[in-house]
Amino acid sequence: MATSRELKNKIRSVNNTKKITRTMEMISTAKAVVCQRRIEATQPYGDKLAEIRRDLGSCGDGLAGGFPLLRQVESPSREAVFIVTANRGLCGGYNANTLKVAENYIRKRNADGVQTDVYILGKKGISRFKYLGMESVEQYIHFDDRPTFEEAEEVISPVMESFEKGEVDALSVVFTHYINAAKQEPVLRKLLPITVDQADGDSSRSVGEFILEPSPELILGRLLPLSLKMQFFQALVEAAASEQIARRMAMKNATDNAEEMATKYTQLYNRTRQAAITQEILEVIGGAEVLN
Amino acid sequence: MAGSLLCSVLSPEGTIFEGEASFVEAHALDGRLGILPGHAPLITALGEGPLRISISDSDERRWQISGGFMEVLKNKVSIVAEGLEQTS
Repeated sequence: MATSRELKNKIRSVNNTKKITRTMEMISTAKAVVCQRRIEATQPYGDKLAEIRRDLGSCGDGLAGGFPLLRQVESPSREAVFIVTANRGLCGGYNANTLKVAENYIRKRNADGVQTDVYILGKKGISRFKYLGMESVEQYIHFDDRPTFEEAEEVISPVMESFEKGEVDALSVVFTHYINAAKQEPVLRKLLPITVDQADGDSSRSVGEFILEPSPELILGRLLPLSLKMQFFQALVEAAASEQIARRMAMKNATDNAEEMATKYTQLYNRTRQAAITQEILEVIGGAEVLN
Repeated sequence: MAGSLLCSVLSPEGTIFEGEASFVEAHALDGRLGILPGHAPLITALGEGPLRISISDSDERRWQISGGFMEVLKNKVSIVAEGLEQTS
């Protein structure tokens, strides 16, 4: 049986760990709230862009042709894949789950004979790919829990350009989709090529003809890249929120476990102490009886 | 004046302004564009330039934007801005 001094040390160290994990839990809770607010804040912009695109569509005159971003490729030969992971661990299965989805997809594409250009966001993804010996084109580690639109734009713009030039034929992003506060799951979203739902007969809003200034082509030509960047930005914001929520859960579990362990060790410590006292009393009584 | 405009200015990171306005002036690609209540439905791309929203005779907001779109539909004006900076 462990000595009481050893047990005391163990209790102290468990309690210290508990303090740390509880603090991290509280920090993540606070950050998660901020991130969730950001998701809500970005929503109207994305919705409005989609709405304008629909309204443009309702004005008819087959806008499909002539836009590099609408290029459809029958058999893609090269695909860019963005993987959004965290810079830090201690967040349960957050990174592992996202990477699993990404790895499976990349393996599948490679097996289909499609080359993949992998762009990794976050240190955890980078080290995982290094460990697997899988190649990546570019790594980014400067994204924190508050990605900005400009940062997102910087990362995705070069890839959009190479799509327009025909160097890559598709673009996907793997990230953790924030469904609601209790549910997040890793998903793969295809951003390019853009699928235009021409059949989208949303007649409820097509109130008369819009005046289009300066021309429908020009508007669409500007709208497409913007809404693409926005989708990427929203993916980053959702991933950031999911990361914080995952970390909060992980730290909550760690705190609960520490609590349990501390209770167990305290009981054990008390028992040893009790045993020692009993032992001592017996010795004293024994000694006294000998004197008699 | 026939009613007022319900105006919203959106940026990627949030809603910048939302409320009633009497007049909106934006910089379209080929010149300035003023919107008064009762304007016909319109979608336009915006260029680099000032965006001005008059809430009342004495109250107005100004921003500098570097691009984006404006949609006008049934006295509802929505501006989705790219690169937006408040100037006053």
